[in-house]
Amino acid sequence: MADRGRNADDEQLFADWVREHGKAVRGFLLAMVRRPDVADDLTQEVFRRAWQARRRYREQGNALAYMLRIADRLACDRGRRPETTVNLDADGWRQHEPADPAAEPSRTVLMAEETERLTAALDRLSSVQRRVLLLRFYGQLSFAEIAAEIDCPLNTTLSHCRRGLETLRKLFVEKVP
Amino acid sequence: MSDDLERMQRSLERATAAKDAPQADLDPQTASLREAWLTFGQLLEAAQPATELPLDRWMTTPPARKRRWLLPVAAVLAASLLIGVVTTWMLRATNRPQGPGPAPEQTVATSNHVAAPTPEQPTAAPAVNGSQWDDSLDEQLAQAGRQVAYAQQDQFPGADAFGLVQYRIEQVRAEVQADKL
Repeated sequence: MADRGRNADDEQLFADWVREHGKAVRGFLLAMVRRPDVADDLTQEVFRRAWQARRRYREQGNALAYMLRIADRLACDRGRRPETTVNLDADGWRQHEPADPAAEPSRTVLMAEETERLTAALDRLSSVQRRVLLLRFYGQLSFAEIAAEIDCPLNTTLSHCRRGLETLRKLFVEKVP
Repeated sequence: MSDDLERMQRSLERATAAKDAPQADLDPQTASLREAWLTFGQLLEAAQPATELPLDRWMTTPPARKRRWLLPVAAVLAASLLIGVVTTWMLRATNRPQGPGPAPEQTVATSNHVAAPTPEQPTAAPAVNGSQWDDSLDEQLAQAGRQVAYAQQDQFPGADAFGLVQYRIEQVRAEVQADKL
C-alpha cells in the first residue's frame, strides 16, 4: 500500500519534471547538438537519469539546474564521440523541423529567417561559450555554478561569457556579417 | 575576488538576467550586451518546436523500471547450480567403496561352484561414512552367479565327474556303431 503510494508520488514527480522542465532541457540540447532527433533522445535520457537518481536530487533542490547539468554532460559526451553524422545547417534544420502547415506563409518565412540567424550565432560561438550562455539562459545558473559545471575557474568562465556576448552583439546589434 | 572581476561579474549578471527582470541604469556597454542577449533568447525560444514532449510515452515506460535484477538472479542461479554439481560429485566420490575388498561381481566370476560367500570371505564391504552394505543385492548377485555356473555345466558335460563318465560311454557307443572296434 505504501509502495503504491510512493510509486504514485514518483510518477507524479516525473510528470511534473517533464511538464515544467522538458521544454528547457530539450531547448538546451537542441541548441547544443542541433539535431532534433538526437535532442529528443538525449532529453529522454536526461529524464531517465534524473529519475534514477531522484532520491539524491530531493536533497539538493533546483531540479532544472540538476537536469541541465545532466544534459550538458550528455551533450559533451556525444560531442567527444567520433562524429558519424553531420549537424544540420539552416536548410537541414527546416527540413527536419518543418513549419506548421497551418501557419501563415509570412510566419513561416519569419521562422526560417530566425532559424538562420540562430544557426549563424551558434556557429560563431566556441563550444565553451555556447555551454556557458546556454546554461545561463535555460537554467539561470549562477556563474559560480556554471564554472563548476564546465570545470573552469570563475574568471575564465566570466571571460567566456563576455566574449560570447560580444560575438552575439556584433551579429545582432552591430549587424556585422 | 578582485574588484575588476567582481565588476565584470555584476555587469554580466545584469546583462544576462532573465528577460522579465527589468534592468535599469545599465551602462552603455552592458546595455548593448543585454540587447544581444535578449535577441539571442528570442531566437532560442522561437526555435523551440511547438510539439509537446511525448510525456505519455515516457510515462508508460517508466525509466527506472529497468530489469536490474536479472543479472544478480542469473548469477545466484549459476552459483547454486555449480554448488549442487560439486556437492553431488563429492558425495558420490566419498560413497564409492574404497580399499582392496573384492567387488561382488568378482566374487561371482571367480567361484563357479560357490553357492554362497564362504565365511572367510568378507560378506560385506565395510560401511563408509555410515552407509550400509546392500545385503539383498549381494544375495541376488550370488544367485545369478550360481545360475550362470549351472548353465555352463549344461553346455560342457565333462565339467563334473558324472558327466565325464556319461560322455565316455556315449563315445564308446558311437565307435561300436561305426565298427571302429
